[in-house]
Amino acid sequence: MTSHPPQQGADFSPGPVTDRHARFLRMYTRHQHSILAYIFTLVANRADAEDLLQETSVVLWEKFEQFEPDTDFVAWACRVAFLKVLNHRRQSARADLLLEEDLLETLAARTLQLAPQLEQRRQALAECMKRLAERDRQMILARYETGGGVERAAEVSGRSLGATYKALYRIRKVLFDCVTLRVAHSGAR
Amino acid sequence: MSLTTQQLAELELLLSELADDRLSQSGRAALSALLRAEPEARDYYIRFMSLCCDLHEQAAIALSIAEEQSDVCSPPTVAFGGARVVWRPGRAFGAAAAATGVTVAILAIAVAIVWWAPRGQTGRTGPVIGWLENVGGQVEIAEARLQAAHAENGQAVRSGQSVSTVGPEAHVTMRLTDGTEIILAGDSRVVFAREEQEHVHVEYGNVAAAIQRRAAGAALVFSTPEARVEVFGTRLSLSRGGQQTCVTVLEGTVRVQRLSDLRAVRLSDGQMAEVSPQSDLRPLPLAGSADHWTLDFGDGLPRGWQTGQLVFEELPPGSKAAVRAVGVVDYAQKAQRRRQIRSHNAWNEGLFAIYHDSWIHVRYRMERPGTFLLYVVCRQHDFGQPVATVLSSGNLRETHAGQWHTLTLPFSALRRARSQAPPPLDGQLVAFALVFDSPEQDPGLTVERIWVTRGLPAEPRQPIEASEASPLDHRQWRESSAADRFAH
Repeated sequence: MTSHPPQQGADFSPGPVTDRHARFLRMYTRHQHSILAYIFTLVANRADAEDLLQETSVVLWEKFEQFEPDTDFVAWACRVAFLKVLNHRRQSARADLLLEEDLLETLAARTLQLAPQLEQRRQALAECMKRLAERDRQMILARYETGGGVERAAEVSGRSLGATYKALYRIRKVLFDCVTLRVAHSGAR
Repeated sequence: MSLTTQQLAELELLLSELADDRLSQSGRAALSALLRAEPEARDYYIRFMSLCCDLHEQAAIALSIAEEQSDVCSPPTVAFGGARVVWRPGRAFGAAAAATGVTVAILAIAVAIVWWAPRGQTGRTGPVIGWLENVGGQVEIAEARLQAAHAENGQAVRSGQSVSTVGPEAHVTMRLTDGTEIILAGDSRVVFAREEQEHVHVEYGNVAAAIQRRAAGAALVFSTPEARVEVFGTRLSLSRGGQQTCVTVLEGTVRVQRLSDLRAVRLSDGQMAEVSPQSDLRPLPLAGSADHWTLDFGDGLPRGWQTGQLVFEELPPGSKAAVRAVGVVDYAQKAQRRRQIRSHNAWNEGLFAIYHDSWIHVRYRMERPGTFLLYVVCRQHDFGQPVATVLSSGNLRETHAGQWHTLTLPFSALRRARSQAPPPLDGQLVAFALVFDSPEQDPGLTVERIWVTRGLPAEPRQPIEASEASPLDHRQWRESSAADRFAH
């Protein structure tokens, strides 16, 4: 394989890149967050989810010729991701496992069913974030930034750890409710 | 079977502990039992975990703009179209990838997570890049993501800092060292970064800019989560919200690139483009703002509607839906709680132009006697100064609650929200948002239709058309407009 990724400076064309690369890149970049969210739902750990996404992406690329263009890319990718999650689970220490395998399968199937709604919720979150009090916004960003965490959130907000846990619980609940409300409103159209 | 209140409370607590990595073994067992027993709990779990994942994304977007550049800690980056590609080596990713050499290296670029990562030069903030002027309303400036401080006229702006305007009437002009003007209006936030080129990241809101001519290779770059806009000397307007970026060129030429697929178009004078993963990315002619305009909610809330709840009951005859005011916290007013209806933000396209003979009509109902205000948020037709003009009706008092009324006001009766000077009504003001505002004691304001006409309405109406009140003609209305039911 001697194809190249798109090059910077290619003004109005994607550059010297094979159709296959281009198609894969387009679909993958469009849906990678959905695939990551699917994995994260099953492993409940950001670092594990990102690692599994990378492993999944390699398999997706290797098997991309098998993907049928008119079918659902996310569903296909999530099937691959689920196998990676199961494999990861089997290699993990028993004590680290959150969910039993049969429950995991149930959740995986339901997550796929909810995928369109989850995408709507993702879009609604950006709007809900803007409505947070600035202090709460800084705090939740510090909690979720790369390398951040509860301690970082406590540091940014000047609260104790205990108070930070409570505040994060409250902020997430506010955001969850706000997102639910916004999606419900848009669904009423 | 649905979750009981107690089960829901327990689930929320367990999930919060899971999210913060402090869920005990017994907690894990309790969570598992709940998820097994209740389909609703499973749906809640999925939505909650999805939220957490999305929060990581939100934080990454925010941090990528503000975080310190560290060669030691940052993942290696490679140029990739207009975006920056970050390759994050996985903990368990190794032999297979290494074995396939160049192919996998290319693949790695192709499948790596694409992050938009403008960064400051060194430290949290860099050199001074300009100054603030024409500060109006609540304007804040912050270093990186630290607590924001109120901004003042003449204050320096450094690369790496963010500038926010809060509330519909807030605005500020940032004059860069080369004379370039960047104007923010309404609820907006930008971050100034400096990498190879000057770079302004628009998180959300409305921007107008007059950019001084630049040498080839020294474009000023505006970025949003959806788009990258390169300018070498032009006047443009840009709005970002609802997962969409809208770019309008008033003068000159810009290159607009969509980040989701790296497609790009050039826009010239009088052209605009909408950029979202779903949009048809192409230059569109810029339409002038209408002087007649109407909005009802029969097809639901318009895309990007800011605040309000769609309702389908107790409507006037022939109506399908209306929008009801909901509670908000007004951070621009010492965190007062208010009830508001806020329209979508039509910064680029405008809602309607305002002339001396323009009238606004609102079909509304209040559940209880009370007051409300109507704000019409305007920009200049050419996006020039003054950036934002807010026209206010003053307090409108309604004593005939529970009935549908039509409020009809000439724009000549509206006043600037923060000035006694009469607004210009020669078409140079273009409304881009409407706000209905009432106090926390919820009078239950519901609006069914809003429309704007030029010339006297066919059937002259009172300012508040109470169904049992005797009619007043326009002259009488003007004379009574200082009375308590329309008190500025």
